[in-house]
Amino acid sequence: MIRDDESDDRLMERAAAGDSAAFDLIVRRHQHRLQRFATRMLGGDHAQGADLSVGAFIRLWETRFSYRPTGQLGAWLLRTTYRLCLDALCQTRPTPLREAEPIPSPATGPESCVEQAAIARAVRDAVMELPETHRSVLILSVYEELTYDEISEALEISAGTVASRKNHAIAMLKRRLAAWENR
Amino acid sequence: MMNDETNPVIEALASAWTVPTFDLSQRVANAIGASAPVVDGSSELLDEIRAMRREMQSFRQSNALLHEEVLRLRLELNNKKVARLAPYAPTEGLVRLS
Repeated sequence: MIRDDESDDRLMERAAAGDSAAFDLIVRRHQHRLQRFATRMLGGDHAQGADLSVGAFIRLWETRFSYRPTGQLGAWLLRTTYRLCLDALCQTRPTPLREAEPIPSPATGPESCVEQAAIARAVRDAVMELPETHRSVLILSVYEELTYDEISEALEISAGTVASRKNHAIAMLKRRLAAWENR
Repeated sequence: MMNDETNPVIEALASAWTVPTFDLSQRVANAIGASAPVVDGSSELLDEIRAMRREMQSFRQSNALLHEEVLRLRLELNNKKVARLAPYAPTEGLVRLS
């Protein structure tokens, strides 16, 4: 019987011993964060975000015998998903990031739901204009609310670099979303 | 180090961009050659819930598309001159849609 509060490392040990139910619990525990991260890295493509998340879990399954318990399984999964995202972005790189398309401006009308959709689109476009290195930090920090140390572990960069990239990303977003700031 | 450097305005704006997530456990189970364990033997109910979630997701996507179309039409109304859609028809209140 598997307890819900068993550590990831313990579940990986069980998975390596052939317990697929333990691996299923790992999937259920981390799948939503991975999907949100991948989907945002890819500019909102949730189908591909889900595909890449599945890919990360498959890689974890394939490495279950050599996995070393470090208490950082979540970071391992985020790192693997990030690499898969970079590969996917490289393959789709020929299409330019719609540089000529202006960020939508605030709507003048009162329909708040329409405006909300427009804000979401403006934010998505602004986030996608960030370099992948900064985008990943911003998403993990702002959307997933990870600490700098956790992001540092996941992306294998120093905490100082995390802080610096986040500051740059916020400054760039601030410029791009200036029209929305006082709404 | 804590994540204490925040910009409330930007982070509030960022929260407008939400993304959907799905239950991937069955896909992963299939991919690794295992089958996801059944909770309380209620597989039919779980399947039904998953189907309903997919349907809700589909509605959300349609809704988002509708909102974008409303926005587009509103911009059309604000920015485009009235145009005749059919010969000899009155032009009042008409806009070109494409």
